[in-house]
Amino acid sequence: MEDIAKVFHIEWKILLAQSINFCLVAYILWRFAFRPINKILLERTTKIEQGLKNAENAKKELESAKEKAIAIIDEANKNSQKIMQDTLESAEKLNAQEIEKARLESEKIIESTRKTLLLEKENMIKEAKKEIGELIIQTSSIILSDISDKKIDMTLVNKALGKYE
Amino acid sequence: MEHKITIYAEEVFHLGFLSITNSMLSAWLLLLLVILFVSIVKIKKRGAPAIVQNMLELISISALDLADSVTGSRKKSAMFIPFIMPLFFFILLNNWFGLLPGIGSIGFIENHHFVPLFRGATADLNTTLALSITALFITHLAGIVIAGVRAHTNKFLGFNFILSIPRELKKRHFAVVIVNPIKFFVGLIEFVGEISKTASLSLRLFGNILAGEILLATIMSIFAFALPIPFLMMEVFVGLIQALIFAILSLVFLSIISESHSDAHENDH
Repeated sequence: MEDIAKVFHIEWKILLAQSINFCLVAYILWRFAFRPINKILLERTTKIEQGLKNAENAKKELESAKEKAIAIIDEANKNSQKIMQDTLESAEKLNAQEIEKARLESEKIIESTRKTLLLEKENMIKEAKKEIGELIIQTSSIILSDISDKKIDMTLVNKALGKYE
Repeated sequence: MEHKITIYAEEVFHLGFLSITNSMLSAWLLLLLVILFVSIVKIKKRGAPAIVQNMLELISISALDLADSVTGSRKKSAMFIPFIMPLFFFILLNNWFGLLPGIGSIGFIENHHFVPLFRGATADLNTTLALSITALFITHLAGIVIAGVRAHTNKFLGFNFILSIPRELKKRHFAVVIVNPIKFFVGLIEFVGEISKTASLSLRLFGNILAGEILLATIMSIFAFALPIPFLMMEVFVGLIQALIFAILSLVFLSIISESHSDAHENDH
């Protein structure tokens, strides 16, 4: 071992000096060159990853917003259709009610008119009867003024009126 | 005057008790260059980065991806990369530094012997051994941090396996008589393996870089113009590959030690 050390001039002091020399170079290289570079690279990688993550999130949010918008539009469509349907139904119902009401009203009017007419007719008939009776009496009294007594007059009047009924 | 490449780094001068070798001077020069580089390069946190920053970012991303393929997890890679990346660059720059003109050819004469002022730091076993010992130290430090001192030392010096035999025998677990000594010896083999790892790491790098320098010197002595260019290119590639091998193997050792402890934890649970 000593022979090898002698041949290659291996000395522990030189070994130590060279180790220290390497450690110094390694420290300087790492501290002032590679560490800042690695830091920058790490920051850049983090930024890129964050950016990608954000983009992915934004994409997801956009998709979610789109889905929400579609859902809202669908809901609105459904609601509007329902409202329209309800409106139509209620309009139809109202229409039917109004028609029914009008029909009832008209029937009422017709009924009342008919009653009025019947009453008027009866009144007219009564008046006509009365007038006709009077006319018959007058006519009969004129024609039969001398040949008939009051009893015969009345019989004749009733007979004549019986023809009109 | 004699000018030959030695397998060791020559002493340039003395600084107190420490002899300063030409490889150490190269390493110091490289340290100064690194300091100059980090003070010149401005790292912008916002806005468009400059070319150097762009390159550093590219290197960092590639290094992390490569580390992920070894460790299998970004968390582990992020934990080990502060050691592995500077290690890779230290070795790479030292490997390439040795190829620069003037390194190994500018020097002084001492006792009729040419002593180069600079020598590629990784062409000195002291440097590569220092690097592999540091890598080993960091590996075991990581092991201790992950598993704790007791669990980590037990992996290599499993005296508890031997000591627990009587207790296990009382519980009528007779298999421990065979299993526990085997476990103890496996731990010892692992311990020896750690030493051999250090040796293999340091000798591989040292051997390759020194061989490259000798090859270049030989080619240059044959014909100094144009002929060394392909070999020089090859040495640039070898320097890169050797730095990568050293760094990747260190990362593998770190990854293995963290995984084996995780497995041990899971088995305990």
